[in-house]
Amino acid sequence: MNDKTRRNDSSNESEFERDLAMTSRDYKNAGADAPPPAMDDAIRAAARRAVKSQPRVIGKSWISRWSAPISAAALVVLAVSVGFIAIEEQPELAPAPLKEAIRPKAPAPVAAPAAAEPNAAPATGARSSSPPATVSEKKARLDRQSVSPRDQIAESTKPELERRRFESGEAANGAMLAKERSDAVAFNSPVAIASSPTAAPAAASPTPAKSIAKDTQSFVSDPPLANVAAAQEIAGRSSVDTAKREVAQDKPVTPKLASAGGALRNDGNDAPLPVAQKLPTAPAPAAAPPVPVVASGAAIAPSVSGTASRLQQALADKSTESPDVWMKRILDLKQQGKSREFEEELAKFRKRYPDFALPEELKAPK
Amino acid sequence: MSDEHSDEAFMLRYQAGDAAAFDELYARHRGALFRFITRQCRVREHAEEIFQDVWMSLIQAADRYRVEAQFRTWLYTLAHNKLMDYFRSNARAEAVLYEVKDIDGETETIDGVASRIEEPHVQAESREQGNAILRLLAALPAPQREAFLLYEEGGLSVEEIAEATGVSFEAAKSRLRYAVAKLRKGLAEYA
Repeated sequence: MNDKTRRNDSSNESEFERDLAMTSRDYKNAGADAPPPAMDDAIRAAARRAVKSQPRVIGKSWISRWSAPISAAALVVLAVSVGFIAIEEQPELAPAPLKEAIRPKAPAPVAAPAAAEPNAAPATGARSSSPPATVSEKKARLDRQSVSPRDQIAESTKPELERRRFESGEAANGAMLAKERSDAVAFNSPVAIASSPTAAPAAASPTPAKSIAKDTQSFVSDPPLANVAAAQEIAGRSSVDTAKREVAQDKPVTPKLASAGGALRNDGNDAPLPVAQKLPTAPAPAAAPPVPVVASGAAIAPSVSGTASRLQQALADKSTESPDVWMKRILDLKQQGKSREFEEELAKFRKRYPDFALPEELKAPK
Repeated sequence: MSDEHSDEAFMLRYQAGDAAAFDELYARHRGALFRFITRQCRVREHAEEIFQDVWMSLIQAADRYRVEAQFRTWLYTLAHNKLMDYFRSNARAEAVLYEVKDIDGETETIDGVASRIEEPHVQAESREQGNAILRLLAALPAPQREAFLLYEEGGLSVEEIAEATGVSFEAAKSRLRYAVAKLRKGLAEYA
């Protein structure tokens, strides 16, 4: 049966081949049509036009060939740039080695001896990677960098002084001029303000900043120099506030602390500091945030002593409270039955605010 | 295919910008392609339009040409696609024949073709043209006619016919078989 099928298939195949050959022969005799010559010309012309326009195609292919690599390169450059900008703006995000590489080094102070501090003052962002500095190191850094605000004030007052001297004809007063010059030098000199033993050259005047302000005020009682003194005092106060906050947060002391006035520095002994004493009575600047009184004591590192502890005491002082708040606290003490503390606080309050109108319950005789 | 006088070599030269290579290719294939299209389409004006479209498509696609198949197969594939578009828009009955379930496109018996050829107006046209086979060919279903024309005019093998028309080898061979059988029978009856 299979042989029969196979035989049939082969006979069919051969029959098909034979029929196909005969049909092809008949078909070829059927005649040949051809396209009109005009159409031939049109098609050939179109083919030539396409060949002439090939350079344009090549240009397109060049663009398409390089567009992907160029786009990728641009994307990488953009991503790296954005990354660097982000790290610069938020240094905490960067790992320590990268932070050191990115952050520009602080310029070394000119007056500082080379042996005092081999490295420049650390930037604020490097705090987490570097160990906390000791108080003496902090003081040395502060001494070196305490110049900038005072420098600015001194620079701004110099031309004004000269002008006034010229106008008032007091240039002949040699003693006055010498005093003024010495004041300007003292005012302009970082070592005169910050009397640190590591940074003080022998020629520098030891006049403290407070006395400079007093002298300047006595020399000219007119508004510009009075403004200078006031600005100096305000700058000192705001710097002290900032320093207090930094100490409370266990931050390394920044140069602003030094610029708050040389009087803050204790120079190795624990004598009371004029500015620190003056602080409680001075009202805080309006823009200064409230000092975290409660957290300050716990936040101080044990290794920080001296200035830091006095700052802590200053912070602990309730004088930063407004009279109303203080009075409310005094009333609370009375209500709680803490009579001794109540009396102490009331006495302090009366001493500090003698003109404050006491509430009726406190006016009553005890 | 590697012969420098082959269609593929001329096409590559044209791709590189040699316009003369296109002239050579065109001269080689213009007659056969024109007849293939004319006898499939059967309306001369439409056939000329389709013929021009096929060559324009080839010119535009020259950049993308790769020597993966014979140039001839590629050319007739373009022609097949153009004809299918034409059938779909102008001759729906012919297009339907390509879409029937029979893989060989067989929708009409050989006897049916023969009987149609014997109709008075067909006989008159055949006598007038003096060419019976063309009348018999015109009476074939479009897929079978296409397979025969691709074999005769295009010079394609059964495998290449299958590739150009997008069907299986068996379907292409079956279509060709039916076409030859019908033509033989019609010619025998004609004689």
